[in-house]
Amino acid sequence: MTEHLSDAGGGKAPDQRRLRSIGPARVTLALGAVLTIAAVALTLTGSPLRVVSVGAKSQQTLGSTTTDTTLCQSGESLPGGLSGIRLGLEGPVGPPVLLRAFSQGRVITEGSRAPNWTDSSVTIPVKPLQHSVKPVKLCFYVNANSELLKLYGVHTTAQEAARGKSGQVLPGRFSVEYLAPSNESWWSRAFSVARHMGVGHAITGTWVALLVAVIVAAAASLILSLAWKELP
Amino acid sequence: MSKASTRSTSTGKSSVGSRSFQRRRETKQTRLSQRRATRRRALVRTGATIDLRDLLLRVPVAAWMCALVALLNGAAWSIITPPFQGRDEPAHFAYVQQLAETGTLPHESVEHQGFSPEETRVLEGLHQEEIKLSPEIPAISSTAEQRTLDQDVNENLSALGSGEAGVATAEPPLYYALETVPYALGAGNILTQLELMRLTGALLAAITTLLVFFFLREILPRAPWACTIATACIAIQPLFGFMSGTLNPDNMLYTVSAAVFLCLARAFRRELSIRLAILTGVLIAAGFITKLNFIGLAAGVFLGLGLLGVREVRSRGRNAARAPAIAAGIGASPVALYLVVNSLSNHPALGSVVSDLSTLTNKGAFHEISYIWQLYLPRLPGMTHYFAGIGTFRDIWFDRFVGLYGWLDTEFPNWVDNLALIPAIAVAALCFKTLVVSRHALRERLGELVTYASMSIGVLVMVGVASYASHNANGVGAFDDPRYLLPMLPLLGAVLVLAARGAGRWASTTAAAILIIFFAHDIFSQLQVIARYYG
Repeated sequence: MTEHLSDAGGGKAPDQRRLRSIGPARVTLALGAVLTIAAVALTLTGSPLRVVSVGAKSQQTLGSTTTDTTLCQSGESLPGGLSGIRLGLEGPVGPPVLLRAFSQGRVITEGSRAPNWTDSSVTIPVKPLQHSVKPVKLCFYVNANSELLKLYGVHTTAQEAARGKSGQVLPGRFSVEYLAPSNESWWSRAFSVARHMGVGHAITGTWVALLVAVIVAAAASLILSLAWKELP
Repeated sequence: MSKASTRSTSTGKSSVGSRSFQRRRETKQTRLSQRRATRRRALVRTGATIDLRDLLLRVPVAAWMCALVALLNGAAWSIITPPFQGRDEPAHFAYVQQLAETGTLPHESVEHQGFSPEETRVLEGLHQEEIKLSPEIPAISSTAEQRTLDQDVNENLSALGSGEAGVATAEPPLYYALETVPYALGAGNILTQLELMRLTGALLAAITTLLVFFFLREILPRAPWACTIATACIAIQPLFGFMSGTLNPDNMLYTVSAAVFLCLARAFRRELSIRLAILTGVLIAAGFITKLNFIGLAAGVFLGLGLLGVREVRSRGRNAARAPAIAAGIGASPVALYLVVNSLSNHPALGSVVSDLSTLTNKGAFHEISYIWQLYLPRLPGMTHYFAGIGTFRDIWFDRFVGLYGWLDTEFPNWVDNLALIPAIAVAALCFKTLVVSRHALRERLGELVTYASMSIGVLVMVGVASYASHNANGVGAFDDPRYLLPMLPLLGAVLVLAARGAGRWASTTAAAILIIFFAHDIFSQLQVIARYYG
């Protein structure tokens, strides 16, 4: 009888049953999916960092070390809007790097990078600088680990070259690039990124980005619907 | 698992109507399974074998869905990652090209002339050398660069190289032999060939995911829904997705390893029949000729077969040792064959492995053990400091597992690694809780657990040995990569299931949260790679 009543409850009963079946797990799933999409949307409102000026740039090796090192070079020019500095350092497991920029003996900006970067350069986020400043003395301190750390730069005269803490002169100036957020957000660069994705592949054209989006969306909807069905 | 059976596990306070509704569904489901079982028994009675179609029809829809997700994820990664920016991809491509074009395996060349003119020209057109390891240099983007690349691709240069395949030269041929099929299908355009080869990796990822699904259902049958969610997490694990979207023998190693895990689970939980023994043996043999790293896993597999042998002999007499012996015999056959061929051709019996061993023995076993220990764990007093300033577990294994894509040059900011510690520790704690609560059940499964543990330790040691050899030869050792640990993906799945179960009444909510974390991790990893190469 109750079964009969329950099943014959008109349009409302199945809806109520459906509502009851949305337990906390499904709420978590739905909320999580929405939050993820929101986080992606929010992330894309940010702007990519762009190189706005270059102090020196070369892949010539100036030296290498496995010990703690402090190096400074003078005569640098920091652009306004600066929020990252890229140094020509390479290590299999990059050590922690601390960077400071001095103007007239005062720290005008600084930043640090935690260990375990792996590339042929390291980008250190620094406190944003509103206006351009020069001349600037740029110093970085490396808390070395057991892995060999290489320093890249441009060979110069001893007068222009970078110097160590105890005054030893390097064969040149280390590579340094100054980065600032571009004027465009990732959203406004979407078409440019999509066009770029369509270059250099087996399949070419801007639609490649659309294809990726469709594949990812298909995978996402499959996994969410599967979880929705399976979660008790 | 069906919706109905999933509901039956829930203990929510449902109404009388809903309970009777559930009862009806459960009865219907039971009748259906009984009918299926009767049909299977009839097939066995009449001597008919269960054919492949029947086998495939028995795979739950959830498993197919997980596999499809892994396939799609791998396909997306294969397009996102620029050609030849996967780890060592040029070397792996050269191996396939050598095999497909000449029918011979690559070999060390005295002249060191490198890859084929065709591959070399396309690598130049893609600026592959400049882009790799330099995150500030994006993939090619201009129309002029695309035009040059088109010319390079269509120049019809020779596909015959010096016979070298760089770092891949010493690897066994099974994966590369499989990749000659997409290579042939894409003939005429090297980029199409590479894309098809990458999609083969995505297909292997789908198979791996299916195998993980069955492994989890086998070892943790009490919470089938949790097994499905854990498999879904594996299907979208971003490092696995990234690897499956590139040309790399690791992809087949993951598949073979997952299959071996499944066979052992079935053998421990049911019995090691002759059929299963033959299959296990063939898989072990396939592992040996897929990638040298399988040696690490094999030690634990042989230990497991030994334990199974002892168990079977104790319960069913000496004849029962036949199945484990068959598995071990078939599994060891490639190694035996390799030794015989090398001995007959006056080469060192262990081939190229000898060079690795010689670098190991230079400093003695203590140094080697000390190095391998520190590669994963904190240094003990008296040990030489091999990783000064590096917390290996955190810096090498955890942070790189969180995100290191492309040619080891695309990573998340440090705060992401720090944030990832929170769910990782929570999952580990919940898993540990379940293990403690179920310790009595674990004792009954000691042999099986010892086998999985020794397989894992074998993989860790093998990676450590290779790292130590590299450290001794080049002074560089910390290039280690968490992808080497992905043969243990089935165990990661088990950890996720146990973590969900450890949350007690919040099990399903925890599972949902874990899935969302994996989902977000995959999406943001793909965005990070897109930003690095195309931003």
